[in-house]
Amino acid sequence: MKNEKTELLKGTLDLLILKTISYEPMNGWGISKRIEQISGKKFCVRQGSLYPCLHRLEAQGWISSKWGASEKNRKAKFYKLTQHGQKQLDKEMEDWRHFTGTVELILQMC
Amino acid sequence: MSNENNTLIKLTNINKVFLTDDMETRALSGVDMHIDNGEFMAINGPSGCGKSTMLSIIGLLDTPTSGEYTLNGRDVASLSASERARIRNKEVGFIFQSFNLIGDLSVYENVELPLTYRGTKSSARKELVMEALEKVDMGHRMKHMPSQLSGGQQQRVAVARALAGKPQILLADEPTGNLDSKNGEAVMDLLKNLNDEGATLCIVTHDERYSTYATRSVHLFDGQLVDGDGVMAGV
Amino acid sequence: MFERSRLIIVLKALFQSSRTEDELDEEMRFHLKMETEANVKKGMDLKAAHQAALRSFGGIEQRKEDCREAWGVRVITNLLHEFCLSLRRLFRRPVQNGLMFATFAVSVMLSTLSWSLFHTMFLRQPEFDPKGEYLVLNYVGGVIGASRSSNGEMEAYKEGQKVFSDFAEVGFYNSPTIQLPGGAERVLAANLSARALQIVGAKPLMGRLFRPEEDKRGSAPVALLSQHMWENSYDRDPSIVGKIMDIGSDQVTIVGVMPADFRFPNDQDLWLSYGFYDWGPDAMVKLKPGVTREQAESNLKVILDGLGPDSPANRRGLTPALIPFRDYYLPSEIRVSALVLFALSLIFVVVSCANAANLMLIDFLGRRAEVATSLALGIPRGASIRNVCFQVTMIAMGAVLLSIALLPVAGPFLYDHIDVNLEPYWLNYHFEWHYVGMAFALAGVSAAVTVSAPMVYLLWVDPDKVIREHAYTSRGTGRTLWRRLLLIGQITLLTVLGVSAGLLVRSSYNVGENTWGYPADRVFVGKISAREIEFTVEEPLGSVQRLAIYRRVLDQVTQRLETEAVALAHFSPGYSSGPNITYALGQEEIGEAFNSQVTEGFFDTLGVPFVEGNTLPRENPDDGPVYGVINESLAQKIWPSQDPLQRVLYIRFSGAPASAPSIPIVVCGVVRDFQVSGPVARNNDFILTPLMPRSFVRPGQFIFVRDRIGVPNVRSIRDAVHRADSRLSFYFPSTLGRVIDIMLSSMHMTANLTTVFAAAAVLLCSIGVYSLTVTQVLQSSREFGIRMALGTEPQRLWVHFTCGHLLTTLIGVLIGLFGASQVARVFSPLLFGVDPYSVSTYAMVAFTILLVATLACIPSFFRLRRINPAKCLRSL
Repeated sequence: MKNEKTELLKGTLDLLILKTISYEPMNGWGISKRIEQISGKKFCVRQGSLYPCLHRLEAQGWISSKWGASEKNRKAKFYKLTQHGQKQLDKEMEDWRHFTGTVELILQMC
Repeated sequence: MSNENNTLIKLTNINKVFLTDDMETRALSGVDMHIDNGEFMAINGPSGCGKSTMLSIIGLLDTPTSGEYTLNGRDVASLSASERARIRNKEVGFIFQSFNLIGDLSVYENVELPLTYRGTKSSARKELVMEALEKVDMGHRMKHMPSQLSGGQQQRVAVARALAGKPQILLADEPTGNLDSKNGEAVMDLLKNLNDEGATLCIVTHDERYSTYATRSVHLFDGQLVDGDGVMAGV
Repeated sequence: MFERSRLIIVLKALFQSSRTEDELDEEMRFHLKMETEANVKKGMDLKAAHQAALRSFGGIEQRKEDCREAWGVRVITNLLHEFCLSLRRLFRRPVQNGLMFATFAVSVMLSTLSWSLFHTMFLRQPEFDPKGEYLVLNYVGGVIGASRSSNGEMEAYKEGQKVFSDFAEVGFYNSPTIQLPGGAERVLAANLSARALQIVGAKPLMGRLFRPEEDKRGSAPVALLSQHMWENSYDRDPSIVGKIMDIGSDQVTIVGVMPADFRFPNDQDLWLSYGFYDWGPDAMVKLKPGVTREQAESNLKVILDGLGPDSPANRRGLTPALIPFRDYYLPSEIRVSALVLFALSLIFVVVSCANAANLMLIDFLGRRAEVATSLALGIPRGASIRNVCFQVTMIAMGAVLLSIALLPVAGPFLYDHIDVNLEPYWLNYHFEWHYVGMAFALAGVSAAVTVSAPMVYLLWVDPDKVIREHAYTSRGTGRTLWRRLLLIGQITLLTVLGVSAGLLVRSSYNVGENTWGYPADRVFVGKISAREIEFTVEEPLGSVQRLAIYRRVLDQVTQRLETEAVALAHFSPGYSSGPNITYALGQEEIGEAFNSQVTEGFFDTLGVPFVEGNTLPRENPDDGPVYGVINESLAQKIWPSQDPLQRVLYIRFSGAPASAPSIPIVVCGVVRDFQVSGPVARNNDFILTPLMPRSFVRPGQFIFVRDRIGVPNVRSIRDAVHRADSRLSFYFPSTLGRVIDIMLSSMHMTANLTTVFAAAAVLLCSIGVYSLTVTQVLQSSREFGIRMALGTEPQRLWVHFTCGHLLTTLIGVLIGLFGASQVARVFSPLLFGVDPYSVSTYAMVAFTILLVATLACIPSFFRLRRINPAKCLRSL
């Protein structure tokens, strides 16, 4: 059974998470759904691997977490971007654009 | 990540050459094999046919001289020694011929050993250890020292040790080799039960009798697979 | 920011672990619930929805673990757990770990003690001068005896010096007899100048300190009492200040009482003003910045030279010297011994490290299968290495704690056995924190060395290979060669150490009374001094008067005591420092010897037998030849195979002016050799001459008494002396044995310490030999099992094993004996009265080692009996 969804490139998950929560604090499930939704279900975040990633980002100080109530009034852990994380996001977005731009350039020229 | 055809282990064209003094010994030549999730695989063969080398390679104790090895969809042939150790610790359970329990640790501590280095909480560890010991029916002996146990009991503890970490696959190298036939059968029954509960097993034995416990068996002769379930042997 | 957020997470996970775990669990369950609900919305039934959610999540436990890994807590919790595991395993191997503990404890203990000794003798500063800024002005060189300055010289130094920023005269030792309310008593005193009291920061308990004008000679004498004396002898008299005490014929005013914590220079009872001192003062001086000791000494020498050749110091050929306080009290031999011992103890630490590393490595190789199993189970090498490190560290730390706990007992014990003569209180043992530091440092180094061997093994070991070896080959038979070599090495070392220690110990006990040539314990010695007698008469009449008084003393003692013999001499064996004359036959000087004036009964009193001739004449006429008694070896040297009696030789005092004529001596007797000079003196030749007025009879003689019963009553001798002349004082009562003991203290220190070190070395090496033997049995148990299965009885097997073992030991012993003979040749100058190739010592050591080796085999017998041949065969 060949999976239609594209595996995420290594390292891009960080970027996507940071970007996703840059607008509002979100819980883990929300983040995974949002990424799936926006990508038109093109991207599949293996749900299990999302959490280690979140915890790592938190340990690095880029995001912070707080317990809050979800839309159905359930207790959920919400993640939000820190100032440090904002800087990191800007940097990673810059890097990403630079990277894709270069790849695109090569694809066009050759 | 997807597991094609539910395959856990896939060996492709594995060769292993030992260089001893000025002699070149071919332990394995061009072995292709796979083990699926939930299978009970037996590798048979006479002494010196390369069975143990094969098991060492499957268990990531040794690296093949050439060939491809994917475990759970991941290429593991080219990993570093410490990465291999981590995989061994998490995904492979070993059962040795001579039990290899550690003499100055109690039964409980022996089973706990592989879990020690995973950072599991001690309460969680205790649960896992007790669960494994109950499975092999040795829960009542957890405070004993290995020297106080019979061979069969020791091997059961060794099985529990292999089980405790909830590995993807259990590897057993002549698990009955040091046991009399009664104890040997008991251990094989235990392994069979584990398989029925969903564990994947691969054992190496030169004793044809025990092959019947397996769901599938392959035959190794002079480093080559000579028959087996749909596996081509490069004769 | 970065690190803080991580730190918070780590701390939270560590100290609120259950809460953190719960939160993690809750977070994941929330996710699964949401996913399940979403699946249900898609139309799945609840069970399928839940399973699909689980599948897409992929193993909750695994994910949790990944999260924990992301926190970075794993490292810490793992370490904690590993530590606990190592701790538990420590007690599961009591023998091996106990031996290692003993090894560490012995070496750490000894080296910490040696460090303490080294520190005391080379680095410690007195409490009253913590920076070590002050030096003692004293004299060195000269002929014999007192190297004390005179008051006049001290004044000249004080006035003329340009090199000191501080100069305070002191008389460190004075021992007057004073009249106390409870009767006459001889007390320990010191004379201090006003400045000296200021330097050491003295504060009186009551009254006042000395004033500078009281430093002047001829000023009214004043005294300060110690609190102890004020309380015990004056009953805490509140009006003590201003009272008068009698010292001899002087009236001394008490001006104050010093508190109990004032101890300078030692535990004095009484301090007297410096003006009341005439016995040869010292000075405490502080160098000006930038002035070296050598410069200061040469400045003093210039001043001394300016005083002319007749000043007392110049007459005796003395040179002014500046000595640190510590060196002033410690004989240089003792300090050298301390240095040697400290170096020795460091070597010792190295040896014990090697020993512990041996134990560790051997044990480790014995556990190869276990190590391989751990590695095969995916336990990281780091964890195995840490396990070893934890184990060794804990053992080492245990050893340190034990050593520190034993220090308060072992320290004073050691210092007591060093017997430093006249040792001031601040050179006694007392605890200092850096001893602990040193113990930890030494244990740390030892532990590091010890773990290095298994560490290297662990880093290189190939788990697969070991597993393979363990599972498929029988082992333990072919690998004995290197173990044999190790054993041989240990035995060799043990033999060398044993022989060296044996020789040194024998040598040190040889310097006892037996080699002195007379029964020193039976000879009583005391000093009678004429210091209090007013010798106003000019020489040579003074000598005549003194001689008459001394003759009276001899007569009185002979009359009043049951004496066998009694004699006077200006020297006492043990107090003299070596040759003081050169002798010649014609013009040419032949060699050096010792000379003193003695009365005719001297040889009888000491019990030294005559070989030829007679003792000195009672009255040597002033106009006739001077007679002399010489020792046997000297006679042999000067007149080989000739009769020495009535022959003439010429003596000349070392350091005498060249113009002085040499004195002819007629030999009247030859006595057996005896140790006339110090214990380590090589040259014990002597030419003893009679007490006669023609040569200067010194004020102050040693009196020797040999009683018929044993050691005579001190009181009756004192009575006899006082009866002869009431102005004579009698002091330092002792036996010659005791005097010699004090003289020998440094030799004994070396001997005692060598004994301790040798015992420890034997202990350590025995541990090594024992462990090697036992391990060999353990390692070869499979081989033994097979042999037993083939029908060999355990007893025969044991004999076979023991023979092989003893053969190995014998080889080691033989190599060791050869090595020891080479080592002994090197230190033979240190040996006294022992042949460096003494057969008995070598044989004794070899025998002891073979005995230890045999004893070490006994436990293996029981191990052998426990081997189950069937089991060995099955595991083949």
